[in-house]
Amino acid sequence: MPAADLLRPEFLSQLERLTLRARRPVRGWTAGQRRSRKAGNSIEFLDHRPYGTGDDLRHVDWNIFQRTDRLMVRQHLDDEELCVHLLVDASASMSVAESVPERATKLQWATQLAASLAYVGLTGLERVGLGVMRERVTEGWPPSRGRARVMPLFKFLADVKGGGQTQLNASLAQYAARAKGSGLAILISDLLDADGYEAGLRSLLERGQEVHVVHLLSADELLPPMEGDFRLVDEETGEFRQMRVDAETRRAYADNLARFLGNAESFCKAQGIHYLQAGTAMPVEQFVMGPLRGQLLD
Amino acid sequence: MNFLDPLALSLFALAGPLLLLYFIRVRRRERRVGSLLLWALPLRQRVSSSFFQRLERDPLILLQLLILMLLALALARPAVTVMGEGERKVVVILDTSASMKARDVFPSRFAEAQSRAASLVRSLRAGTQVMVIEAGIQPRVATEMGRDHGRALDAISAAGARDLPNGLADALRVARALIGDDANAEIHVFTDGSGALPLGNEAKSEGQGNQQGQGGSAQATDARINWASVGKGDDNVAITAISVRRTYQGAANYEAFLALANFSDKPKNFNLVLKVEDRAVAERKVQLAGHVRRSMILPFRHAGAARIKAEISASDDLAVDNTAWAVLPPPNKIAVTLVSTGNLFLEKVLRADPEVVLEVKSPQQYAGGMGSADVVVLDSVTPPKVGPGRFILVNTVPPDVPVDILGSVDKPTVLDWDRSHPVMRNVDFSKIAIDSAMRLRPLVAGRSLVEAELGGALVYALEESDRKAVLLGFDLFKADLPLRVAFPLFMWNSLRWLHPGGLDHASLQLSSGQPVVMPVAHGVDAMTVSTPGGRKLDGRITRGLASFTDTGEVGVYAVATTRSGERGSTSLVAANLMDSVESDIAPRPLPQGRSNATGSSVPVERELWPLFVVLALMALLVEALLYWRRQTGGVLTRLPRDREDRAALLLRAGLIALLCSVFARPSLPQSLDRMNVVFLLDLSDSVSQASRERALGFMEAAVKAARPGDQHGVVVFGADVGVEQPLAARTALAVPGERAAAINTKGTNIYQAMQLALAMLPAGQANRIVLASDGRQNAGSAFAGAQALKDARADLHYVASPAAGVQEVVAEELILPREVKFGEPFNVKVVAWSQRDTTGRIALYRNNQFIGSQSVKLVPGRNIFSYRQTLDKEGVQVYQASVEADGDGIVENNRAIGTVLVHGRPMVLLADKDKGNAASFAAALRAQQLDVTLVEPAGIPRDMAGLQKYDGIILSNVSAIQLDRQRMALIRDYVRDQGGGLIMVGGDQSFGLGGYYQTPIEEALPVSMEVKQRVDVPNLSIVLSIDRSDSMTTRVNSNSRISYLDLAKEAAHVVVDLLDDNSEVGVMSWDTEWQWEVPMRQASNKAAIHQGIASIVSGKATDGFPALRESYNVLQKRPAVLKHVIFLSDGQMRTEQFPPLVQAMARDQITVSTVAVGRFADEKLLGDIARWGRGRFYKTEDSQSLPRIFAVETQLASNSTAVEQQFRPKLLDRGHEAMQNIDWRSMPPLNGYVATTMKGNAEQVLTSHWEDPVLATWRYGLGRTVAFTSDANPRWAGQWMQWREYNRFWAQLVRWSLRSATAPGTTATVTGRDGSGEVLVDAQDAKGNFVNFLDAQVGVVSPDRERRVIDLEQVGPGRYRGRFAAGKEGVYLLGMAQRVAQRDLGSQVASLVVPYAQELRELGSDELLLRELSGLTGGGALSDPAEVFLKGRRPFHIAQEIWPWIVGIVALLLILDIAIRRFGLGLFGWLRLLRRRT
Repeated sequence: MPAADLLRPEFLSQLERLTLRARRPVRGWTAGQRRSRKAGNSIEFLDHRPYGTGDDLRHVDWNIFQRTDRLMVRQHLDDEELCVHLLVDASASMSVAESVPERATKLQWATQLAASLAYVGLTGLERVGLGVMRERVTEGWPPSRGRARVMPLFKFLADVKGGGQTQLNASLAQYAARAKGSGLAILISDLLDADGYEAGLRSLLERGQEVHVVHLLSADELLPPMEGDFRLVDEETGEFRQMRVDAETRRAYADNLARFLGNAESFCKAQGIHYLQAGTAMPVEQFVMGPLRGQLLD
Repeated sequence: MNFLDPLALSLFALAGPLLLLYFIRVRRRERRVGSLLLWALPLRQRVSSSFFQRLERDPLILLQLLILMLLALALARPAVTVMGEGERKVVVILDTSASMKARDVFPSRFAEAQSRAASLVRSLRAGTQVMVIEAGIQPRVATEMGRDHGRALDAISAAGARDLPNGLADALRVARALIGDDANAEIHVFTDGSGALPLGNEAKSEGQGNQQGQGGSAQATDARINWASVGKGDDNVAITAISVRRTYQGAANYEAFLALANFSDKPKNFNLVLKVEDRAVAERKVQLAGHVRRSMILPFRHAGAARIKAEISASDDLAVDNTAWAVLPPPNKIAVTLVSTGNLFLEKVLRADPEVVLEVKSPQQYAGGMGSADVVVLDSVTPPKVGPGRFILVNTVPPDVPVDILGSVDKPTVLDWDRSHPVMRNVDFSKIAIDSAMRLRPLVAGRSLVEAELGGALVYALEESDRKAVLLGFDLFKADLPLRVAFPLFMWNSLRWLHPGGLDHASLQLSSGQPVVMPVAHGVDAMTVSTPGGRKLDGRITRGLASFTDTGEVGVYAVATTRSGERGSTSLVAANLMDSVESDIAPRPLPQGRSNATGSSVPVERELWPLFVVLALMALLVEALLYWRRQTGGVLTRLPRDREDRAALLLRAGLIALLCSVFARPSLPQSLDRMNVVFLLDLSDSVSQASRERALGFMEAAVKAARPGDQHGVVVFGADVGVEQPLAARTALAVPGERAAAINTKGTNIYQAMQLALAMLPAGQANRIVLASDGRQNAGSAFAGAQALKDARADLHYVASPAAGVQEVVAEELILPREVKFGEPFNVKVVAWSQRDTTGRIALYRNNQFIGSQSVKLVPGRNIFSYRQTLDKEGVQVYQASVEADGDGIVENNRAIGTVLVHGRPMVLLADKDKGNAASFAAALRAQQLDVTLVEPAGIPRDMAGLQKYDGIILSNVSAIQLDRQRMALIRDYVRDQGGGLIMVGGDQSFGLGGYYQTPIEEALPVSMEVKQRVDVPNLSIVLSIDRSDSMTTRVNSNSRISYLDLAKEAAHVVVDLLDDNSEVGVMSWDTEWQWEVPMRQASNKAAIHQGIASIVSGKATDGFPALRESYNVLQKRPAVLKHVIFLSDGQMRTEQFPPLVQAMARDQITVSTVAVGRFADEKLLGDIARWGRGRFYKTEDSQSLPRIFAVETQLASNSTAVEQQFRPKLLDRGHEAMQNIDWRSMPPLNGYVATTMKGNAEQVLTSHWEDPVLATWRYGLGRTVAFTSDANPRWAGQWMQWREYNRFWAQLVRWSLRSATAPGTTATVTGRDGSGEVLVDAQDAKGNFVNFLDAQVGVVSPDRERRVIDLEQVGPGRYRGRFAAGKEGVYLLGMAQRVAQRDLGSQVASLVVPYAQELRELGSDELLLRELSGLTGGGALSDPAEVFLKGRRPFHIAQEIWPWIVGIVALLLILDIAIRRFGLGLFGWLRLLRRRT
């Protein structure tokens, strides 16, 4: 997927007005939430950006206005910086084709979400890092800052291919060990790992990260469309299972699914992990502007 | 609910394979999932082991089973019994006549009728049977009686109006016959009510006692008929007649007659254009007030062979009659070879025909065959072989012509002739005398055209497949036929019958729908017809007749014939609507039918299969959608992912479409070897019970021999027709029952039977009609029926069922002359047919009064009894004859009826020298009912109009001198051109003695005045003594260059010519002196004598005495017995010297006749001299009479002409018509006669003892002349006048000579057929011009004295036609009068005889007709019952409904559909499936 197609420009401009919400003070803050630093009160000038409605007039750079007749807002570096770790599950199970071909695969959906979050982070002058999970964290993006990073990051995300088995525990542990600086760790994954994911998440928590899990399942997984006799092949292991899909099977599947989702949610709650369910049936944009706002974004 | 085809339920057995599909382990499709984690648990729950558990539970299987069940049910044709109108039958008759094209209702009347008929059919309850009939020329059953309303609707919408006249009567009859007397049937007629409707109005006015009439009114009053009227307007202008005739007068050579009519209320203005080959030759602006008809004559010139189109520009509701077409036939050249040893008659007649190209060959030059000729005429020449071709055989039968000669017959009398045959058109054979003829016995088909009382055919038309010939069985030199008008007509007709160059005038002009029937020339074997619409169709040629019946389109048809591959001639035929009744589109009131008739409610099977098919369709669709949804995860907007699913769904779509197609009623041609045979069983009275039984036996045997599946039906017919058994496959024939009993057996109408059979037979199949009849049709035209059969490709075979009674006597015919003169004797010939030798009694009635009866012996076959009758009453006289015989079976046929038209008392002009003398002669004629006008010679009219009043002229002892030359020429023309009669009766002033030598009257008479001297007649010395004085040179009159002397010389020439070689003649001229111009000498060297006469020159004064004395001197010395002086002078002379001289001459037997010339002649002296000299005195101022005077004188003097001896005349010609019924044995002697010489072709009836003619007759031009050389005065006929036969002798003779009374030019013919009569009047004036715009009316008196007046309608230049109903047996009397602008032009009286018991008139079968009919359709006689079904079987294709097949196929494919779903498409999958099972 070309990087430009990852997210629509309109959506990007919508994203610009969002900020990441960190629940906890990160460094030296005593209380409350971390404020937005849009009108940064640091003296270190960072950048200019065009004036948008709602911006504080105090931050308008009148000198520039005088020179160029354009309203520009001055941006300063905030004192408190946040490190955002985006963890995208790119195992083979994430890239199983959907029954509706035009629907995005889980991986596509996940990269799009990651791109959105990365954009919010980067425009919010945060440091954003990325880890692609397969058996291990194979590729990554060290935490870095600045608008100029957006396009390379997008390009990187667009090039992510699915493949490999999931080893969430191992790869999460690996990432946690490597990650410099604590902040937000956002895992986008289907959590379909025979060995579980609990240990991995815990290791992130242990490193002081504020962990968010976007539990992504495809529409087909939430409601299997097929009925009849099938030979179900595991995308990752190549194992298969022959079965006849009928109402009863589907009922049993639904039970399985509910149990699986329930387990994941209750585990996260218990650990203080922010847990969010997502399905590919809902487009990313809608997800970002809907369920994600208030949870992770402001 | 019950099942009509329960076997089909077995289709449900397909459920087995379907279930099996579910038993068999399915090939599983691979589906990749992210992880099996979520799928782990359910699998463990399932264990598949037991048999039934293998039947995987799938909700769709129930649907699939349901579909299978529905399809099986549909195939089983379930039906529910509903209460419907099962007994109700509805026949829809659509009027397809031309007036239905009228656009007064939108879009047209026919469309309106269609929609109303369709809504009627739609409103019918289930179970009602419907039949649709299109009423064309032949009614066409568009759909047979059936419960399928859809098909009826289709048929209604497929019908179309054509350019045809109304044929509702036929359609109604067929419909009624097909429904029988079913009270639950109804007939709905959708018509505009214009055109000839079978409403029975006419029949009603005819009253009772008439079969056809009753039939008609039964038809009209049938309460089952509902009339539905469409149309409301009357806005139409039409050309109701077009006719083009050739005229030989005036500047134009053609006259086109057009009749226009405005049928609307409003006046109309329009243009009329007459175009010849697209070139307008006449254009008229026409203004027609409302309801006005106008005829017009448009003359034009053309060379022939053209299409003529008349067009009117009126805008009206009906367009088809705004154009009319006619054609001018091309000149037809006929190459004729005449093979003869020399026959001037034939040659002349053939040369006179402008279309004949004649080549004359001697018998040596002809060796048989046709050569390049179209027709070969053999005149008494018998080549060894003639071969195929077209011949006129005169007095010869070549060996290869299948006619036997059985000796000869002497003086055959013509009994009757076939007036309907084209060769005999307008030919009258009534008074032909034939000396001797061959006795012909034809061995093959043909028609006897002229029959003799004894000896059979005199003229025979022979028709073989490759040879046509007209055979004259007598020598033309031994008959008077060549002298009759009949002869050229006969030859003309024969040539055109043998070599038809196309069509006769009447056939060139057809009403649309009439068939083109065209006899073709020798060798023509194919024809192509180009229709006005440009289609090219092949007509069929059978038996020398090309025919084509599809003329339902107005315009010109071109018929091109091919002669063995080469292009032959092309004939044009015009078809027009020309039906003023049809063009009158104003709707007429129609009778109100029974409204809303409903049949009783009865259980009706109502088929439900379409319902089941619909349900199956829905189930198929639902199942497919469910499956689709399942395979796409509940989304129907996408196709399923799997190839096999897509294929299965595609197949399913196909199945649904296939099943839908069932509602379009698809059908496939199915080859069938099935014979449909309709038996037509003649039940008419003429077919005896025995032969009917035989026919039934034949039919039974035929049905037994039929192959399974063969269908047969039985139609019974007589005068009407009924369906005894509808067409169906049965194994045995049922005995005729009820229907047969209801048939009117008093007639034979083969046509209707054929029509009905045709309506019963399904089109396009192997159809056969077997006619069991005697072929004695007396109504309808079976020929037209056969044409229709031929077109429908049905063949007609026949089984002759002749009468086979024990003993039967039939009064077959009463033959009477068409017209006789008042008081003219004629023969009433009773033709009685008997089966066996028997005795009987013939009684004769005239106008219902008994005349007499006679006992007769009857021999098997025809017996002819002749009774002589004379009528003294004008007008139409009705004769009836009855024949009663011992042991006669049927009595109805023992009466015959006939009429004779007696013209008024003939007017005769009797001119006699002496009125007083002639009174007794006149009285004798008057006593014989002749109207005699007695005049002196001077009273003979001097103009034609005066003569025209008389039917004949008798010149009794009238001298030519008293008639001037103009009057004689007038009398000659009167005889020759006007057909008047002329009789010259002898006496001393008649014939030669009357100076008729070399006069027009001599030309007309059958004798010439020259007399051959016999040896013993004393010879003559004659002196012509001519005054040559100065005064003789005066001119005869002021503007003439001829002098009296010239005339005298001319007279002398005549005298010399008259003398025979034994006589002596001397010619002298004198003034004061005499001079011998020709000294006395033998008259043998006439040239010298003529020279002498010519040399006479004029002299001085007048003194005749010396000349007369010299004559005396010379004659005195001559030896001749008769000595005579003709003394001519113009002046005054001294008289005293003459008496002694003349007296002396008288003593010496020298007679002197004197001629006084000019005004100044000394009449007294000359008269005296003649008296003294026992001669005659003539006085003349008329230049013309002088030669005749001399001639008379010579003949008188020679005494050669008057034979004054008593003798008994000898009768030479006993057969002469005028000499019948005279008792010759009592004939007294005559006392003298005038000698004359017979002319070559004249008939010598009475002859003298010297064999000089006493009575001679002949035909001269149109008239007849008679010479009776004795007299009607006491002088010669003293004893004759006492003879009791005297009056009759004269009356018959006079009547024979009289002209027939119809005025030349206007002829009226009356013909009858099928209960109606037709009068055709052809009007021409004296010059031969057509008389147009006559106001012509006909009064008709029916047998029961009912009077009606009908108007004649002009149908062509000079041609008028009228029709009247003539359904009753007996005589219809017709009186006609023609007027132009209140001026009477002429009147005629005629009659039409409708014979009694027509059905039983002729017994025995008419094989000829049967053979012709069947031959036309390609059939023939049947003798072996097995042949009925087995002969000439031909498989045909029928459209077979294939919906059950489609349903079955869908059911099978459904299994495949599911199999694909379950096992995929690949062969691999299937193989694997098999492998797994093994």
